[in-house]
Amino acid sequence: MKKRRQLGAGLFLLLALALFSTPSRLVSQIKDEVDKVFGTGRHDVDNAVETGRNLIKMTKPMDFEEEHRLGRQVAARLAGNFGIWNDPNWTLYLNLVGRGLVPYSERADIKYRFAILKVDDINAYSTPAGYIFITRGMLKELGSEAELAGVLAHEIAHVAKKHIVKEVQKSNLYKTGASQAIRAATVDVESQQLIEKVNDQIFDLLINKGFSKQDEYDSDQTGTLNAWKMGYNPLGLRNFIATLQSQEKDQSPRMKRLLSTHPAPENRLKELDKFMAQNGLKPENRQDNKERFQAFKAKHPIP
Amino acid sequence: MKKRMVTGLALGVLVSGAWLALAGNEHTPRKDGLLLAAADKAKAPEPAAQEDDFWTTFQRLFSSPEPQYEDRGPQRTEVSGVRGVDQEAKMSEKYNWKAVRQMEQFTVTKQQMFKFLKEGKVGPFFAKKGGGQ
Repeated sequence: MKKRRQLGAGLFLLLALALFSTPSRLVSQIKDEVDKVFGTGRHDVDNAVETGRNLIKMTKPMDFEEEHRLGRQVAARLAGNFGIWNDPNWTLYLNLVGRGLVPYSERADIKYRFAILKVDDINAYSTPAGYIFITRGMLKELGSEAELAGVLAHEIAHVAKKHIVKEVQKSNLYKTGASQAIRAATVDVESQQLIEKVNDQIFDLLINKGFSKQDEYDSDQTGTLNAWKMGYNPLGLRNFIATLQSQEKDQSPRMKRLLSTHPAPENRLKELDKFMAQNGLKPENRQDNKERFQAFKAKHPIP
Repeated sequence: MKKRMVTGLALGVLVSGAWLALAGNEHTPRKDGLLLAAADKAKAPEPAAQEDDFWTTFQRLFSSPEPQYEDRGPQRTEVSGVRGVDQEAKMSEKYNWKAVRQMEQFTVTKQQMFKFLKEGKVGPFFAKKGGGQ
């Protein structure tokens, strides 16, 4: 009896060690073997495996499938609440500038998609996995293609640097199983509630709280650098932020959300100027494409 | 006795298994034999710095098929709105999956991109005159 127990324990140890990195079919076979030795329905085994998997999940980065599913949900929510302006000409223009920037991003291995929100607010949003939105109000406000490129590159940088993903991963929600729920083919009520909470968390971040100051400065700098690499005037984003600063005192309701979710324009300009000076980003020989942008605006007026 | 033994073994397996799984995780960088599990330490892919790479990246990104995920958003059972979100954001119960699919299916051809970049003298058509990287 003792020998059998020792043999069983050894077998259990060896087989269970492999559980964590084996396909589910094999996991099932291993469990069958363990059942033969210790009897069926050993919940200890299931619990140990589950706890182990959760432990691993807590330390592993969110994978792209999870990120994509979450990003899609939040994109659908933004589109559902603000509406989409489906102007074919402007949508194409936006995608030409945006997709042109992607190869210069530090995360050029995922697809980025661009759309226009049908609101007069001046703002832009990005969700995990590369769903990027700019408002119709923002398009009205921009003065050149370099400014548009700067704004889009800023949003691409939020995605590339995984600013939202990192916020989600820091939360206890993710650690307590939302990750598995997001990926699951079918979800129970409890899992559904976890997904809802993560979704709320991201939406709240985008709409109300905003990213951390450091994340915003980081995206300003990375966006400016990448637009510059593509050949645009690095002052594009800077000029837009300066416009914000000049209108800040007007307390325009169109800018309320943007100003409340971003650092003060004055500080953004200070940080960006320092970065451009340190990295030698100068406007010489770079394109503004102001004429092209203004001509396009005149040909395709924004309502 | 048997139960205690199994529980003890399970705990051992838990720790060793977690270690093995982490060791096999390609996203987990190693440094001097120590496992650094933090996701944000993972090395970012290099940017497509070479202009020749532009079209390769463009084609690879925008010609590949779209992953097929179901349009599954939260199906709230409550009517009290979004937890933790202010009153203004309680508008947020609507989902527009059609818009997301349109974003995903929107195509920009290589010809359209070529013409746009060339006319704007940006991207691969940006002439570096002393402005280099």
